[in-house]
Amino acid sequence: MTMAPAPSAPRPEPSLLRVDEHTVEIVSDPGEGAQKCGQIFGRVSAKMGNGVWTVEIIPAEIQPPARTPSSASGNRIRIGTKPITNWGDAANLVVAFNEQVLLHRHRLGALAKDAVILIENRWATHDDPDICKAWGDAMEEFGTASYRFIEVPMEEECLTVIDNPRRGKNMFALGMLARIYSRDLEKIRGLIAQEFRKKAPALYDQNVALLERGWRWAEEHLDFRIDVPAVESTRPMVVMNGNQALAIGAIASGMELCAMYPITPATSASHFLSDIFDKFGGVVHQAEDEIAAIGVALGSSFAGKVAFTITSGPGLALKTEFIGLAVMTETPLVIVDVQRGGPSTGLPTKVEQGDLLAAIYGQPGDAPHVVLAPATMEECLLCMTTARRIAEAFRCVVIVLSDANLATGVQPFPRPEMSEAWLAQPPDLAPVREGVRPYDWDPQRGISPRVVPGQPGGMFTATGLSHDEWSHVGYTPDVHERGCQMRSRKLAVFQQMLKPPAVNGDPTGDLLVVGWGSTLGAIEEAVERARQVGLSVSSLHLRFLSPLEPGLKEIFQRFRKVMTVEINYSDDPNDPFVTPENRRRGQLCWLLRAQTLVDVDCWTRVPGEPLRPGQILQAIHESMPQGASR
Amino acid sequence: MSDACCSLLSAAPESEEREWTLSDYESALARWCPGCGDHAILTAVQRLLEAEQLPPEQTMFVSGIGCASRFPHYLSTYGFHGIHGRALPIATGMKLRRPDLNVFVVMGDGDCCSIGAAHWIHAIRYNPDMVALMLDNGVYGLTKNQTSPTSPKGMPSNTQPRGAFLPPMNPISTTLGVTNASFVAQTGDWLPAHLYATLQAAFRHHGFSFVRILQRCPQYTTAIYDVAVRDPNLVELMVHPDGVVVPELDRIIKNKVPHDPADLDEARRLAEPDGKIRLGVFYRNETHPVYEETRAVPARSASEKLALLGAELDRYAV
Amino acid sequence: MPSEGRVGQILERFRAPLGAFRSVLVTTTDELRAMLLTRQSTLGGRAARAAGELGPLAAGRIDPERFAALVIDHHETDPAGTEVLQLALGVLTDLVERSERLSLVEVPAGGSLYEATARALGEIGRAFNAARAIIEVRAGRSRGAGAGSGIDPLPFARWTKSERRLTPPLVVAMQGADLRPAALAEFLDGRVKIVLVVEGECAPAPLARLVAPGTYVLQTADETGLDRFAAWEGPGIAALVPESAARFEHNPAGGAASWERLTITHVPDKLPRRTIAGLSAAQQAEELELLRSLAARPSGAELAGAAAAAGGASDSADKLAAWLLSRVDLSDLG
Repeated sequence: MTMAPAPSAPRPEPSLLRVDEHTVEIVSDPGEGAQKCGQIFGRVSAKMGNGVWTVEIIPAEIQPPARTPSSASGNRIRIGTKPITNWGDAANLVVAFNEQVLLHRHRLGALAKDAVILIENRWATHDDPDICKAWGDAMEEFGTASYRFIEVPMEEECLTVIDNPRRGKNMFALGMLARIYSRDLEKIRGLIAQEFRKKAPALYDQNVALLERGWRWAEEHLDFRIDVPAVESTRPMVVMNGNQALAIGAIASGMELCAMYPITPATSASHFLSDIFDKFGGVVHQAEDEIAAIGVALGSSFAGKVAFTITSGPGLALKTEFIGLAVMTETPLVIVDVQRGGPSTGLPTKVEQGDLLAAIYGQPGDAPHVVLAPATMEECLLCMTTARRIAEAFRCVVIVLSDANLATGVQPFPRPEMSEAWLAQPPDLAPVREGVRPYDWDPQRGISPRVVPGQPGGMFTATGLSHDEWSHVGYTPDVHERGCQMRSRKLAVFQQMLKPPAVNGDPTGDLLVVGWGSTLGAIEEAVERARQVGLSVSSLHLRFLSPLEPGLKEIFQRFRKVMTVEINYSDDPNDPFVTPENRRRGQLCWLLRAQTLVDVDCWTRVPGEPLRPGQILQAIHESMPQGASR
Repeated sequence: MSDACCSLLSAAPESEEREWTLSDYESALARWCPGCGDHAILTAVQRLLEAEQLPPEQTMFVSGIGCASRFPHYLSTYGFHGIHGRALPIATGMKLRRPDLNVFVVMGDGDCCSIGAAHWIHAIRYNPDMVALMLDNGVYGLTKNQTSPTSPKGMPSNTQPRGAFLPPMNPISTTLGVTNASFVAQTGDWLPAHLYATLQAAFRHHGFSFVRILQRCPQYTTAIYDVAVRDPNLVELMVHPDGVVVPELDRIIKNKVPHDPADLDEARRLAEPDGKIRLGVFYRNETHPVYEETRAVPARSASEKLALLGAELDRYAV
Repeated sequence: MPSEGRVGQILERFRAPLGAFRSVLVTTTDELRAMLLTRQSTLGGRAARAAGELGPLAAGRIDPERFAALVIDHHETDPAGTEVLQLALGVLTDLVERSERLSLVEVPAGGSLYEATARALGEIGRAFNAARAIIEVRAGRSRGAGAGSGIDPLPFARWTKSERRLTPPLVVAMQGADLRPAALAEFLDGRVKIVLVVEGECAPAPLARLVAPGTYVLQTADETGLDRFAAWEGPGIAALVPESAARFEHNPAGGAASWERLTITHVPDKLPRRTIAGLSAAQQAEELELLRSLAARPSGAELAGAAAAAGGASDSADKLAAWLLSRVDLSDLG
């Protein structure tokens, strides 16, 4: 560890470090605005043509005690010359508003060994002896690391502009970062103006003054700058998080109703939707509970108006019985599950991919339906149209599995070219021809045309009881057998329309890493790095989990070993009492083993944060089959 | 009922001017036990549909699970026989986006007051324009005699064989206590004229009309209402021009209490148990906003939606 | 929305029903567009449509041809029917565009109120006619567009029950001298609402003859009562009349008897003396007398309680009766 007060004399020519990518973190106590600073830094970087991925650092409580490790709040922003697909390994540069929140990141191993740390300087010499002591203890704990600390008089500088530095430090920090990374000040001013468009103009002036003060301070005192060359995109791009993307995707798919109950981390999608849905003729219905939310969506959908419900793991559990009802009545329904850590209340704000098997198999009885998982923010937007169309075509339930990483992460992607074809078609309320039955199953395909209330001549009573083509309740063996058969056959038909997934990398090799959902970027980056050091590794990323995409067995057989990488719990094969027979495996791993009879292995972790490509790389190294080419 | 959400193509000119007869609403032969009060309720509902000339395709009966919830199967309107306790959310979803449909909900006492209690409370507050019938026989019949929230204290059942431990809940008082209570009435299956008049008042009311129908279960709970059936003196009719007026009953039931359904305090007082079974309209208030109207938003054409989406994406443009 | 002057203000009050009617047209147009899309006959066309509907996430993941072949129902299509649908689409798109102007009627000085209203309703009816043509095609009964068989206006007399409930309100700008509303009675059905914005002197109670138990009838000088009028679920006619005319409100929800429904708030100071809009002074007085008799509370002790509730109405009826008696000059009626 080196500890240097910032050099006081202006440096004429700071060193310029040119890199392909760099990871920045800004951490503070909640309410000090580190997230806002990080968001604007990410957005301006995207605007300048850098690849960007941002991840929120969220404390568990709304107002945890200040200056404690558990209060760390902020953002990690990874920027690159090429598109960035995940949050990376460790931060190269950190702006910390106090040493305690920094300690939190240090303990999580989130900081690179040689990280540069710009830290508020007032704590070391604070009037309160407890604070001085805490500072000293923290420095001792950092001791072994070789961080470069630069003390910055952030509050002192801010006090020249405003009375309460807690309300302005973030803009000062943004100014420093803007100078270090040569960000376009004009673009930042534009983003600040957007941020404060509903507030007093004086507030904008103040924030810009702080921004400029930070820039000047960095210009006068720092001996380095960092250049991450950017390539301006030729295509128009948008930048948003996965929940915003889901909301826009829902509108673009023609959804008319979102019935929901507040639950983290799904709710922000509803916030966003609530703001704008009216304009599109849509309604967000906040129901009295999770069960009612899906009930309202189901009722609307049965009546011919496309609806979805959005929730997270605990809510999905509560909706179970209704999912069965939707399957039994063959009512099209899209259910979004933004996964978080479980079981039970688990880790409400943190990422996990633990709901896969619950989503597919969680319903008592046989309840066949479709499960798909977007892998990027862009796919969060696009998947809603696909899900809605499948639900309608097959009169089935489609569960969309997003997760906390996609929900809160921000990434630029090409502006989607939305079309009228994406929108749901209104229900056809034409009279039903004589003899048409509500479940006129095509015996080959199990598909039947829908009859919607309002259609003369089509009157029937949908029921959750076992029923025949007329929707007449029947308990005889043939009626139940046939109903199950028809509802299941639809999925076989759907699976036949799917194309085999594309392998990332060589189609044959030593190891195939299989993933799903938000881990796409981290897995592909790890595989890329593994290939650079000569390992024979490829990867495969699934979007359709039920039914599974076709051709998997053939693909798997071309590799000496197949391993899933997932953010859910599995036993470590070396753990006490764990044997190959009793080992509990990753959730996709179970599915693949059952489906392909291939001895698929898994490497999974549940850290409550996205996987780091470096971790996966190490797992790849450790998992290479014996005798693999090196 | 509003027609605003529908398309012009949903009108069927040929059925438009058609006159509906009772047989247009009849379906499979009801399979309730002989003597079950549900038969009388079904007949009254069919009469109402015919009297109001509701096109069967524009009419939706939603139910939960239980004896009462078989109701939609015995009508030839559209029906949705869902899951236990959850009829109200399904019906709310339908009415919210299809206000053109005439929506009726049929629940039992277990359905409404026990497993679906949360939805019951909140449906009153949402106040969608629909009729909710709670067929209260004070027992779980379909699953063969378990105590329900409205079983009288001391009533033996298979789950509480030495008698129900708790006093029954009062669904009328409960409903009257909820914000936005709009129409609250009570009637009995053994008084067809009163039953019909109450259903009609409920249907014509603009808002959430909650009707508790005291219903005899010949299998398990005959005793609850039989005394009242045999002795009309145990029944008291609430009478008012704004309530239900049933001249046919004048000779049978002598006990009458004038009650203006606009008076909520009095309604709450009359709902308290005092040995009398009170029938009629406890409360009626059409001033509460109706949920599907509060939440109505104009439809947008496909091209308007795309233009608006474009503007939305501009906010996220890099 | 044309917002000039009084007519604009009135239209503003009917924003909800106007929006609702527009929503109906928009929904119908979208449904029609979808119907036209399904009339793709080739597999290639259907596959392209499937690819569009499934969106970019499905590209390379779902085979649109298989989707089209296995899922999308193939309708046999007749070119003549498609032509009718195209025609209807043109008509509906046009009506959506001018949906609010459909509700605006202007009676030129000396023109016929009845004809202008009938024409405006007929034009709204064009949407219903378009829908009927579409329904015919959908049922496989299309006779083809043919030459000259466009989609015409549909006279009100041929509207169905539900069409009469769907129609938006009409706001009619006109001169008092042209105010002969009696014939409008034939339009007062379903949820038809007509608001007459009257300029210049008119008869004192021109709408009195339109009072019927289920019809909201309102004469007002300052828009009082218009909100209640707009909220009424049945048919109604309102007139914004000069200060000189009578002001009254007939609210069908008021009760079973006419005196419970009718509230008279103002009666003119002067008895009619000259012919207006073809109505002689006697006819005008007759209208005032009709109003009085409708608002008159019957005598009788048994009604005392109920009458107390409707005190305002009976008071003003008494006042009107007294006033009429004091002014009637039979020699003038000759």
